[in-house]
Amino acid sequence: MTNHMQCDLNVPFPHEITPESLKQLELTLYTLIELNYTHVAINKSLTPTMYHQPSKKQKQQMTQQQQKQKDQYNLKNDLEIFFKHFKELEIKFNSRNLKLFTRVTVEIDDPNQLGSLFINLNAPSNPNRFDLVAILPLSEKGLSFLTNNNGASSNSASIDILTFDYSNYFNGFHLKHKTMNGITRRGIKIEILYASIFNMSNQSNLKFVNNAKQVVRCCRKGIKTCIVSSGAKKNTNVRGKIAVESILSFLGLKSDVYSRMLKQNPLSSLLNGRLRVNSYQQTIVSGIDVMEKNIVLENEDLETVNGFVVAKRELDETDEEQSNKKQKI
Amino acid sequence: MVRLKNRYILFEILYPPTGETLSENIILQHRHQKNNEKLNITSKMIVYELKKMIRIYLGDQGLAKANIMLQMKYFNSTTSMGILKCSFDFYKIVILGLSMIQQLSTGGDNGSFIKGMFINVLKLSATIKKVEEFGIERNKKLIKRINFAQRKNNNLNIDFESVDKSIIIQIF
Repeated sequence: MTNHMQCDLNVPFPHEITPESLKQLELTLYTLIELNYTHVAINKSLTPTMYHQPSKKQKQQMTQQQQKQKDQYNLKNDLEIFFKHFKELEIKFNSRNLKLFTRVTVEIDDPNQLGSLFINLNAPSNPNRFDLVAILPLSEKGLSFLTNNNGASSNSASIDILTFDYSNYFNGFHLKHKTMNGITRRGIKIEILYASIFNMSNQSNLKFVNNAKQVVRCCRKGIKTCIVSSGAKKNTNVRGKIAVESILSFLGLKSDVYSRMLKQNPLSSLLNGRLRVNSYQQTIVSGIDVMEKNIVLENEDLETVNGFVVAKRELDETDEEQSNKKQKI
Repeated sequence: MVRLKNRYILFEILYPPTGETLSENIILQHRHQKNNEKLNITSKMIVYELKKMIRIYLGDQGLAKANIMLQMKYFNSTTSMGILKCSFDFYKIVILGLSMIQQLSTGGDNGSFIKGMFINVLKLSATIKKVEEFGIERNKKLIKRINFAQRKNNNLNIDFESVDKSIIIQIF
């Protein structure tokens, strides 16, 4: 691992894919390079209308336009298009010291609508697996998905980050110590997005301060639980390290807390996510950077066994004697 | 007798490109030096905008605190780098104000603004000498990056000769 590491784990991928929106995404990545960022995750958000498959009764209640849109949209194709564009970006930014990662944010309104979405996303047979999986609750029911026994047991290993919409007030739910501590104890990090502080219209800067204070209050002051990322759709809403630190100190945090929020916590969640994809039950061989992409096996001491990189075992004298004995026998 | 303590802040103005055209010459585009256009930004404009932003976010009390020892020591509009002097106790307020700036008012009667910019804080130090050294080293690295891009894109026939490198060398 290099000494200098700076993470931004939320750069949103555009909803409508046009050449202009893709260029805007590229420009934000270029500005992040100017600000010395090294690890960036590109975020694909999934709204409930994208993954929900309505029953016959619900279909009858839908209007014709909604039915048409539902029939035309295909989640698999959409994700394939996202990965196709991501690979192009990865090739472009490979030489610029910027490591790109994939991330999916699932917006949950009602947990019953989810179906087998998480099982499909995290299936080992799936060639396009996301490095990071995040959840954005739109209501109290959505938040309870993480705390329920069913949800907790089945998804404990697959979710890395919990985010909120900071530009609006939380829609009718109040964060409690008990629920949030239960979530953070399982290693799920809670994300603070600072981009909405620059938006003066609609009082979203006030709402950001309000919401971020609430989140920090119920997450043990955010020492080991919170991460900070931009969530910026425009390249003018991204800031460097010192500026982000000043925003966090404006929220009332101390220097030891926000330095952890910016470096160690996001890296640990990133490592957790990468290990889910690259390892078998989070066990790896020491000496290999999991966050390093495109591992080239130039070193002759390495070999692949069942898709995993393993160090070659050197033959000792005792091994040679044993092999000689076997040959004699 | 207790000595007065100061802090010096090194900052640069970045102009992230927003247009559709995207070339490989992205380093100079961020510094608004693609076509050697000059934006007449003065230190007065920055200080005015800084005080305005501090008043919005921290009120009159915050502005009064930040005003102690606040002084623009150096600003170069061609390299768009500058050094601010402020008091040791309230430097966080000044950095917050700098990072919140999104536009600069030109001060004319028309009320026109320079938009699509933000201020990137580079270094905070107790002596102006260290800040200067850091600025010079950073600019040397920038020139190296530009040279590297130039060598890399020689095959693509991008016109890098139009870029006046002396502009970037010229600091302090």
